[in-house]
Amino acid sequence: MAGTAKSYNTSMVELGPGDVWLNVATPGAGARVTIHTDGTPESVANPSAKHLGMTTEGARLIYSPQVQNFTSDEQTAPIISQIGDEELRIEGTSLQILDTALMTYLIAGSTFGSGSGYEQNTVGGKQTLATFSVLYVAPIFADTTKFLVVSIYKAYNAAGWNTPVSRKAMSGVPFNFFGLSISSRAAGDQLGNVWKTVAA
Amino acid sequence: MAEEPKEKPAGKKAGFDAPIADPGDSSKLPVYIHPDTLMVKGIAPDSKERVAINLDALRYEFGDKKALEKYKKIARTGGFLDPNQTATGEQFFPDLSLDGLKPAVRQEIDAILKQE
Repeated sequence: MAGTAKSYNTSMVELGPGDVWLNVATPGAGARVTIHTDGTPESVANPSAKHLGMTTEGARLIYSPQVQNFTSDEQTAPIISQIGDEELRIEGTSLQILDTALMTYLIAGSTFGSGSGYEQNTVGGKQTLATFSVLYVAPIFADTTKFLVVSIYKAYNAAGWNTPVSRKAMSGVPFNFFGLSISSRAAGDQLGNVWKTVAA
Repeated sequence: MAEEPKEKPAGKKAGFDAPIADPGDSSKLPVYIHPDTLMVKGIAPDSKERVAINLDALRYEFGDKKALEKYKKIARTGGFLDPNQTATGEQFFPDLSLDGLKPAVRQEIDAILKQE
């Protein structure tokens, strides 16, 4: 009898950096966001895409299921477990805080405006939450013609606008793009997807 | 007798068959024009095919009321989302990518776009 092969495979290891994009086109049922060969959202297929720009330390990609365990008096361990709640998020800190169009996405509840000699975000008194899609794309470390992609179909920045301003450090705006369910999509595909490109 | 859906004449408005004249300042572009291609958003400059649905582009093409009706139909048909099921007052009308759809679904969407 032979042993079982180990899987030490550096082509399965990821090492960044990547990019965060906002407001890309929503894919249809069973489809994915169209990515160009350079790893950016294909421009014509994603006409409203906005690049988040530089970050302090990249991004953290988070999917958190809250599992409910059910037990019986007769057993010591749970006998049934199911997902009660789930979260899909992308977190980090944006450095390009002077991009007012970008801040419209990061400051939930804000409204962008511009005129002769100014650009602004106004806040206060708006109850509706502006939502948008979020996309993370990073070239795969072992083959930079392929990409790791995380997509949230509908999100808002739950981190608020909390920006230190100092002489000794660059200012940044934290982001916590928190996925909201699109309940009219098929079950299992209502929040987003995680995928990679492979050889066709 | 029910009227047959009429096909919209191709190339009726600027930006579908060829890029519009460059105003030289991207801030002066209409919202429905793609700043890189100078074509209507969602129209591929080489093939002139529609590859994405953008609500501003639909408004330009069909007017506000019909554009919203078509957007909602397309969003449901393609399994993107159902705007009628979102919370009242919420404004979530993302661009819809037509890439990767099943051929039958794409045909249905094309038919919605061609209806007068």
